[in-house]
Amino acid sequence: MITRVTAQDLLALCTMRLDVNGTATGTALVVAPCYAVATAHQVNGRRRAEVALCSRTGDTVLGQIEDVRPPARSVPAVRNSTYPPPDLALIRLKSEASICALLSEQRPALNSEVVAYGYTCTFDACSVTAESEAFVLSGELETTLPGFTLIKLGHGQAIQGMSGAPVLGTSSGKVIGLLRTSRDSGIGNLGAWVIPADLIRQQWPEQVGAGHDSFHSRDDRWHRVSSDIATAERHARSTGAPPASQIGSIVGGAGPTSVIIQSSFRDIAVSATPALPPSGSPPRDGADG
Amino acid sequence: MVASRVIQVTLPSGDPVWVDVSPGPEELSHDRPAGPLDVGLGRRPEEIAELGELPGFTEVVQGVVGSVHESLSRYKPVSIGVEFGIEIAVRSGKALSLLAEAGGSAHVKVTASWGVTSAPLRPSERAPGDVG
Repeated sequence: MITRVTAQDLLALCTMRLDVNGTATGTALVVAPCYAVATAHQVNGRRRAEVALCSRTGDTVLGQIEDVRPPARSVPAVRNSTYPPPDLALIRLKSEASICALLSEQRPALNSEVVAYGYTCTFDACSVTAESEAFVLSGELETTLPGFTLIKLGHGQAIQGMSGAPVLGTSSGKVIGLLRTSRDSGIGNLGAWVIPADLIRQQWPEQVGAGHDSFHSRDDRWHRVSSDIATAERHARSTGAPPASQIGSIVGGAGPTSVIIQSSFRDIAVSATPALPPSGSPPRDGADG
Repeated sequence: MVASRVIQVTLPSGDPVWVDVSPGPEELSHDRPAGPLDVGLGRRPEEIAELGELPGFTEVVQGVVGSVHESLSRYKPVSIGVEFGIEIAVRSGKALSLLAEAGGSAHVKVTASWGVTSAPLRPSERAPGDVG
């Protein structure tokens, strides 16, 4: 039996709307069984705030801000429009999560395509719904915090509510970071700033780093999806075929493990059965499942 | 569009209150470049500031009411009434009390009326124990 799992499917399970005092503040990402992360500015830099994380399926997990960097007391009362770095909040979950996002340990190359997934009020200015936006990695931005360099994205619009949104590398299937800031407070497509995943892990090596690694060593679903994406990318490059992100279906060779990739959402079939149909049967078009 | 901000000010009574203030002219200027902006929903921390005491609030109320009374007293009206608003704004990082229309963007609406025989007393004329 073929089970189709995409990186986006897995990420959707880990991407939550963050509510503070009953008010939606944007997005949070589950990174370890007992922890999620968001930006500090979403929680106004305040520790011990009680929060709720709500999924697209309607599930709600309660949590508490365990750490925030920098805390509100160290931030000037009146300042420009961006919160000082690192601008991160660690949320202790009151229920253990069944899946955590796979954080990338490497930063993607320039011009890499990425997609951010968040919760915004775009649709009718009052209802908070899920929204995604594609970007292109356009560079880096040093901050005033030594060693803390942000990833810069271009060619996309970072809407309010996208703070805390995970940014998925489409070529790796891993989360490259957390979106925090729009590069242009207007309505243009100038892009966004992203807190890199490796720096998030550095902030809390035990809670995030160890918890994340321990989970993914036991549950390899995301690693398998990511590995299959990488395989498909290499196949596309070596054969000169169009990238799987564009059109059509690519059917992998027969064998114990098959890879079927469809559409721009990199539908990955993780299966122990051969991809090719038995002889005499009409070829599968890859649209089943 | 520049969003309004929430500030905390201390009223003359000593009570702190939160006020939603509109951006000042320097923030509305089209010459101001649109720069980076954190994209959380709801109030951003930079919009929430504690600006301490609110100067001018008492002076605005007393000044307007007193001035109206002085302007009309020689005409001996049967009664005098005045209605105005106080808008709390932030200019150059400080909270200010601005005289405004009674409705609209005013944060406080003041309605005062008195008969000629019960004109408002100046503070120096109040008897001990008066709290009005």
